[in-house]
Amino acid sequence: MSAFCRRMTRLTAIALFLGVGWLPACVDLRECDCYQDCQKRFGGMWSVVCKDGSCVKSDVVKLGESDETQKVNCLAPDQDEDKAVLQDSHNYLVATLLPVGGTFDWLGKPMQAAAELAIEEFNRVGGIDGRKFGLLRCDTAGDVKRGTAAARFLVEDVGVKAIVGPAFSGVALNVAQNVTIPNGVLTISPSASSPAITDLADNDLVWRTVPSDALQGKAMAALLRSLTQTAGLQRVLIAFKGDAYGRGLSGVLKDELGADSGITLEELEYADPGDATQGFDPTQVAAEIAGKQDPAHDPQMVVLIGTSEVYEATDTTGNTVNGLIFQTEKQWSNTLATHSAPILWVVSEGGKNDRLMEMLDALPAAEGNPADLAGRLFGTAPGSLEAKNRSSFEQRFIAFSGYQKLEVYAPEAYDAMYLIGYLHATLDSSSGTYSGVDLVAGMPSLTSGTVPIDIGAPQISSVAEKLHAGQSILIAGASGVLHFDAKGDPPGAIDFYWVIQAPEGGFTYQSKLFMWPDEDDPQLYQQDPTAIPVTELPHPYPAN
Amino acid sequence: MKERKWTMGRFVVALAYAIAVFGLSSAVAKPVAAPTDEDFAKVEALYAEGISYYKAGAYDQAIERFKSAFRIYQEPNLMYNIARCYEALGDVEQAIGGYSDFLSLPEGNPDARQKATEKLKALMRAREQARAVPISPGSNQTPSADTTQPGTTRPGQSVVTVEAGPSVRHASRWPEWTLIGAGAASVVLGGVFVYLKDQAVDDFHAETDSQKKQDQKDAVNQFHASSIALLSIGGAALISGGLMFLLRDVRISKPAPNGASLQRPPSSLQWQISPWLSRQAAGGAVRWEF
Repeated sequence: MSAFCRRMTRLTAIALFLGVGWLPACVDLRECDCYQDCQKRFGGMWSVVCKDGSCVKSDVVKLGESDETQKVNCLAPDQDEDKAVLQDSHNYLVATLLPVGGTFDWLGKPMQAAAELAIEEFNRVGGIDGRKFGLLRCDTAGDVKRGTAAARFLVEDVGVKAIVGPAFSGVALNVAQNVTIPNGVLTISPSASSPAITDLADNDLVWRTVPSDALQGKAMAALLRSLTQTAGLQRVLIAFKGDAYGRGLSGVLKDELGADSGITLEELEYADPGDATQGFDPTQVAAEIAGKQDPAHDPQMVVLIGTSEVYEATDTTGNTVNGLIFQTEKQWSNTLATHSAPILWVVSEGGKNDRLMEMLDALPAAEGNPADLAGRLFGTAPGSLEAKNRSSFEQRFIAFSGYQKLEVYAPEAYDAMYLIGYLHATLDSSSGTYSGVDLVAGMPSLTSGTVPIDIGAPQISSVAEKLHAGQSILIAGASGVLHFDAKGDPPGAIDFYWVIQAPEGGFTYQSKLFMWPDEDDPQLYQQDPTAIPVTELPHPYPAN
Repeated sequence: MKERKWTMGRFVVALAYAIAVFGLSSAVAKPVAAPTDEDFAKVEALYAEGISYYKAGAYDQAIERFKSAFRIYQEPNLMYNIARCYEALGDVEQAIGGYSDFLSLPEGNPDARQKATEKLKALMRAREQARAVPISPGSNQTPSADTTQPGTTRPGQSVVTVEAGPSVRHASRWPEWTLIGAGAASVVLGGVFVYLKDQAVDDFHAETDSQKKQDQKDAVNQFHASSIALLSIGGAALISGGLMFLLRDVRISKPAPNGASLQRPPSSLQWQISPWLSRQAAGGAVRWEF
């Protein structure tokens, strides 16, 4: 072979080797840039998140699978259309963090349905600037640890920037302090009413559409003072749940009553049923309350500040048992002859529940349901300020969710999700990424307008245009006009409710507006003393 | 001597044949060194001496020189010259044998082949006639179709220039086959790793556990790197071997010292049909060298 051929062959071999050598040494295995990409790849597997370009199961979820106390449970969309919205990285991603599983699902499910209705209305009109809202729904089970784990999943793994929830004040505070505030995520709670949230150092990231319990504490104090004057009330036992809600409301009540109310106050804090580590035992708590009914104490009224455990609870073995009211009545009936007379119950919004009405109708007297109990049950609960958009929302809510009537805190949850939706219209559309801090920067634009705009799908496009143009608006929500005080608390109203016989049989509750914000100054409140139907205690006691 | 011309079709067919026969590691033929420049110089010198002896009428010496040259380099035209010398000596049998050998070889000067054919016919006719006519004692008659006196040349008869012909023996191709075989095997193995890489990629995309996913990613990269290395090395070896295979026998023209045309043998990838004629028989030979 000639030298030329040998040379040519060598050059060809070298060129081929080098040419092939420029091929990438590694295969591009990048699967995702965001959570939505993984949802597209693994549709229906909500726990698969994007980490370093790969779709993997969330570490937070994996931890929860081995540790039940931190179990994370979420729901992917059911409908194909909603799945498609969640899987599109062009769309926004928001979440609900509510107690939709376990003991407190009665509270969380209606709120979640209301939030879903709001999302459905936004997406029906094409979202904001052509970007719809994908919704991820997670369960707190009313538990601080599980709620915090779910929040970590949403914030750190999924990357949501705005959350409706949590529902309970204790969960909301823990989630805010440990997860959402450090990560710049906005939360709007429809029901966390603890006064502790008002003064939280939150970088403006924690909001709520429910008034602070400071107002309900004012209302309860007004009720007690009224009864002192009209019915000789002198001795009151305040039994409250050992969480931020119970401690907060009872604290405000005591502060409002003051030292010169003429009422002897006793307190009983019981374990938080939502915290498994506290070991809540309804029978034991009822025994402690009933034990107060002796000649040395003899409270004439028990102010019960709690949630569902007031009528139905879970005992230490995990069985569902009658709640604090019935168990205490049962123990009292055993000691009635020697100790006491029946007393008045004043319950917070936990007693304003259909399940309590069912139990009043169904339970026999031997299980702590004497015939006169319904007549001794009263309570205070957040009320609605305006009925205008509430009734139209109620119709849409019933048609959408399948509930028979408007459930508690559903209007607040609907309003919260609408706020989040409109806040996205205040974002700078040229920027690709945003945070909760960017969202909340637009809150003044939503709350400083002068003429309220009705909440609902027909107004979404026009409101978005106004916000893009830099105009301020004011929303007339389903729970009232959405304006907030300097600390981010909305004004509210308090209803006084009591139990009556239902026309169709059984029992129901009736309510009347008792306290409401002044029209000229929402920071001031007016009250209607005639709202309280109690003119005397059932069995007045002489003063000690 | 005409050049072999390579068309794209011949190249593709040759390359396809080479790739299809992968796995061969060595050729059967015993390696024989191709003639070097020094050999050609010797042939040139012997040829020149032979011509000188032929012109001087020293046919025996001329035959010896031409045979020596033929041993070094099997140029068919040398065989013609040997036959010519025998004819000049009057050795009919040797002349017939020489011309027959010349015609049985491929290549060779076309004019010489024509003349050799005619001479062969004439010599054989003369031999037959000689066998038929008794030779009287003392007669110096020798059958000769074309007697050339020492030192003379018949009018119209030219001295055939020694021209180099194609080599009848070719060097072994074991280096080329080794490269082609190893390259093809490497490419096949590279293809296997490409398949394994694709399988690992599918497993990677289907996995959601972070640790298992990382393991799959490592496997993908390992398979990918291996396939790249094998394909590149194999491809380079295949192309190198193929090029070496095809370009081994390229003819390059080089002028001889005495003005005669001395050419390297052309590429031997060709079909050759050679008619031949001998005392006993006649026929043709089909030859395909590669």
